[in-house]
Amino acid sequence: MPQSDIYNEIEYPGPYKQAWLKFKQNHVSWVCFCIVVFFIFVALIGPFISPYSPYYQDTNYVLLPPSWQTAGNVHFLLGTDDLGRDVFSRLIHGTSLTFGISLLVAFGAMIIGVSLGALAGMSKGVRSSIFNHLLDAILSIPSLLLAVVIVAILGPGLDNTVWAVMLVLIPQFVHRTQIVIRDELKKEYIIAARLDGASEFHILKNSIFPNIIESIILQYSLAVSAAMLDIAALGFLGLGAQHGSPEWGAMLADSIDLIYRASWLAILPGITMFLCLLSVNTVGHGLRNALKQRSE
Amino acid sequence: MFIYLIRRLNLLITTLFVISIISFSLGHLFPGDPVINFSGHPSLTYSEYQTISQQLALDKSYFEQYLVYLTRIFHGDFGVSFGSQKPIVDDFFRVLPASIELSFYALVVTLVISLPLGLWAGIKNNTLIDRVIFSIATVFNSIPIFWVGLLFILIFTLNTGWLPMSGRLNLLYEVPTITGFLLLDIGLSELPNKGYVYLDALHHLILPTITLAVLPVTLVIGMMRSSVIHVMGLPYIKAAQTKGLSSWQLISRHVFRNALLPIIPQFGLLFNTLVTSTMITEVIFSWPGIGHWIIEAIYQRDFPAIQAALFIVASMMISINVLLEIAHMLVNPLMRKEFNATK
Amino acid sequence: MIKLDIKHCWLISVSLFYLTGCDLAGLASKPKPDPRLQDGLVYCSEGNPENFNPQTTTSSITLDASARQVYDRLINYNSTTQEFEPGLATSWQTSDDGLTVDLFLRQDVAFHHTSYFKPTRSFNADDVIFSFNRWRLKSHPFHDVAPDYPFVQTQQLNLLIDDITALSPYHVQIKLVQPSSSFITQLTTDYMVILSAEYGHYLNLVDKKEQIDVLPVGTGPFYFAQYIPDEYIRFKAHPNYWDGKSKLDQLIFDITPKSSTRLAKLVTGECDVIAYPIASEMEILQDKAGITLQSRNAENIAFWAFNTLKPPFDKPEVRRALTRAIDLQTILKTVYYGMAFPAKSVIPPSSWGFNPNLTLYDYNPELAKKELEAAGIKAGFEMEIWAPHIERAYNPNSLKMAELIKANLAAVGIRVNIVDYEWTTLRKKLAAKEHDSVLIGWSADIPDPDNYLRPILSCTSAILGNNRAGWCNPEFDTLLIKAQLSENRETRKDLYFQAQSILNQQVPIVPIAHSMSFLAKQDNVFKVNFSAFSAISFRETEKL
Repeated sequence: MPQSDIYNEIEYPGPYKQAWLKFKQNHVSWVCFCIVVFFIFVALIGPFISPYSPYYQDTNYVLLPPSWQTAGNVHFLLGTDDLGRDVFSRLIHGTSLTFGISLLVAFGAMIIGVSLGALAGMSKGVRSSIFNHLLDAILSIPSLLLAVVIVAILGPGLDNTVWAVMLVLIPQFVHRTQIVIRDELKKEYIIAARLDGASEFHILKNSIFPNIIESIILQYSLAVSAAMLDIAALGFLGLGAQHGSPEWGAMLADSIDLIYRASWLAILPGITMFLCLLSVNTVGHGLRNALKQRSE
Repeated sequence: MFIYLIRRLNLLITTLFVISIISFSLGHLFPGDPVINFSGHPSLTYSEYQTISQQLALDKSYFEQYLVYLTRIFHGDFGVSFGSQKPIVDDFFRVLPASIELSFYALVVTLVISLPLGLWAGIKNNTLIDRVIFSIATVFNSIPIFWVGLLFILIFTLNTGWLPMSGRLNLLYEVPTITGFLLLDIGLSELPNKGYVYLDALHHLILPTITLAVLPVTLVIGMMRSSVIHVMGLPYIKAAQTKGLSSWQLISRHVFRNALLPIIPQFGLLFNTLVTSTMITEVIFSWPGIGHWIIEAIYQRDFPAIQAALFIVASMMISINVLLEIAHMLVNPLMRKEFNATK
Repeated sequence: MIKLDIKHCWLISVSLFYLTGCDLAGLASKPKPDPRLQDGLVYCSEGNPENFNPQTTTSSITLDASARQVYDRLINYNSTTQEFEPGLATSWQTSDDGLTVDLFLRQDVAFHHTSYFKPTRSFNADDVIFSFNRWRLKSHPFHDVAPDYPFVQTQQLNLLIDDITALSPYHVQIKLVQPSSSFITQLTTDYMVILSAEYGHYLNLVDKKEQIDVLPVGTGPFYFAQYIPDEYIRFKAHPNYWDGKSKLDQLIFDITPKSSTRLAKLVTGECDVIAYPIASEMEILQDKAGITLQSRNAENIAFWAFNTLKPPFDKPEVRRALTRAIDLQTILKTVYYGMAFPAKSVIPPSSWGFNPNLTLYDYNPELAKKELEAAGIKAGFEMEIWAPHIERAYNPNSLKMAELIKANLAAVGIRVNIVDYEWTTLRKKLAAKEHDSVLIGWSADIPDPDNYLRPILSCTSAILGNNRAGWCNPEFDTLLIKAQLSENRETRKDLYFQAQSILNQQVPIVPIAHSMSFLAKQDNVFKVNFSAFSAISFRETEKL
């Protein structure tokens, strides 16, 4: 017996779904989203699918150009570097290092930053003012300088860079969370909840948090791209991932010595990184637009 | 108004205080002996060590050490550099003008390019031209600055040989340092045929300036565009339109000014980006400025220099931020009103 | 959509542009050069000098920046004619018993007139005595200004000289404790520079003694004008140079540590001459119009030194096993691009002291692994390799070499941390013996086998710090001293053979390669003196 439509109500998509649909309507954002997902996929399983180890040195094939050039070799798709290491495999591993670590670092910074931001946003008076001054002080230090100083304390190396970059990102999350919570707190539904006798924690958890989660995700996308830039910049300056690591910035730094002879070593990591950054940034923009359109 | 200034000043002072604490604690956090890190003398005899330790109160409590550190900072004494064994302040102010000069030109380039483009994109919102400008801005925003530098060097230096790739001036020109700002110094110097020297200096400036400007340009285009879109939607623009103002009048009198005002405080963020980019640009183009100096200090594990650099650069950034906010308040009547209303 | 299109166009155009190696050089139009730029020369050097006094160091960066620009020696050695030539001494004479050396000095040699010191008299015997006594006598007012005088101390010249006296203002007599076959040769080295005694007295009066090595005054073809660390050194032509004023008005050392940057600056014309172009780009340079390469003999040795004061590197069997684990052929191919000779011993094969009968350690990871296990090194053992990140004459890229060794050692179960320090910092830390092992080397100062062994492996140098292995073997030292005292080449040869056998047995250092070293310059630059056994000299250089 065919079911009648009468009893079915018209289904309105929830706010998240609405945003998602808006987001998907924008083709560019959608494509970039797919690219980001692809990069995440590569970062996760890259080490298992790369044809060679990033450190494997095949000294019979040194400085081989990419395979589409006449001198290239199809076994080394994107050529080899000056130690005979496969550039393609190194780029794949670099994805885990530069992009994968950025995702994690930004996530860690988000957890800490949002908790601190919530604390600061909900508190008032002297405590809040002291906290704000501290935050202003840290935010006024240029991020790379702060990272460089932290690296100077801990010593160079990718592991130390991770902490440095995370510490740099936390204040930005705190700042953003604090602002959106302040904005939310002024709204009437919060006052209503307060009049109902809801505790501060309750308000934060049930009323404010669902409303600010999107701004935080937006901030997360910014943080990922900032983290990538900082990790790669430190690698490039020789303060982060060390010489010889497949981290993209370090690969670029290593390529400079050969820029005349093997320009693909400088071009390929650059393009990869650019593509990844562009996708992340475009997804961020798309997200912002989608949220804006939904509220309209 | 007065109270506002006091509050800003209060913010400035407390933030500086926090930064001085951070900078002070670095002396203990860095690897190695605090006495050596604070003074900058790497090899000391036992008696020298004792004297310096007493001078800096390093044998006393942290609080007393901090007070001594503050007094030293007030006297401009940041110790000596491990590398050059000269007072750090001297080194710092020797390289500072080069950075300021470069950042200043980059800032000018940024404003000249990005304000009109941002304005244009904002006015023509949702048209082809808006999308083109915005897309290009997004694309350039996503290129890592060190890669831009490398590409520029590849194209304009190695492949074509049009522009030099490092330094501020051909070293064979000996321009005496008077102000530290090269273009001024050339003017003040007594070199014959200054035209050649200026030409050379400008040649050296082009690539670093453009590289440095790339990121700020994209940021300001974004800020300006959204600000213009916001202003364009406001009722008084509609009113002005109905009054029959030509679009040129409308844009120059109403939109441009009103869109510019709210983004002034955001310039603080811009300076932050600018400093970060300056560090990398200076390394790529061997520009003898602060960034180059700091990175060299890190390679040489020159802890007193890093400590001083953190303090001075952060203080400068805070002062710029506060000044921008005050300037914003002075030029923006709305802001004043808001302030008075809440007070 | 548009966004995507733009992105694609951009990507494709950029990739095509580079991957096809598009060259727009034809489009370039250079403006007419300023005549002022023709009278000066920019030499892009590889690092910061420690100071400007060759007596106090063995770092070739310091030597390059001072020895032949600011200073003169009493006697010069011409490497093309292989003969001695008069310098500040017009003639010299050794007595029959070999114990007295008489030097007759040149008259009217002017010292530099600089912003910080105005000399009132010209060069005479006082300056010679002042300069020699500085490193010879502890009582000399300037002896303690520098921590040590590595060359003369490892060569034990301070012990060899009994007395120096001025018989007249232009006649100096040096008395030796025992005859020495190489004394005159040693006088020609970069370290035997003549300082100004008058400047010394002046500094002593104003109590600024340490200034003597920082703001130098000499008699050389160029005087010191300005030094900004990490940026440049400015020299100007000494107008009253005794051998005629230099054809260059100005000489700039543009300090450019990255070799790729140096090469690029040579291509763009920002440098007239560059130090040590990297081996990997040699092919490109050879074909490049407008650029010429100058080479010099491989009178150097790159080696991997173990800190033998630190366990487990104090055990010869560990060091031998590590030697076997290293694939030297690959290093020669990828680091030196074939521009080097494999090192079988510390002494290069071109020297008469080279011992061809050594049994070498072949590359054999399996055996190495067994030997390491036998010596108690378990898999997962961690060690550090220090590598300076600047090019040296003997090693164009020690970081890359470290990288290769790291891979080799990983195969035998050893984990390597590569540590790279800036050059001056590295030298300080090495002298403090904080390292596990280091990739470093040595360039010879004089054509004598002794110069390869004593400065880097003797007990004296272990104490002074230049022996990067910290290795001291009395038997080895006795052989060196015996060889030094003997006049008979065959006897000496035999002793050096024995010394090399001990080295081969003990492996405090693993010899890696003797590298040819190069200098690249613009075609319009002539007569740069770039030869083995001496620092670079621009005395006769011309730019047309």
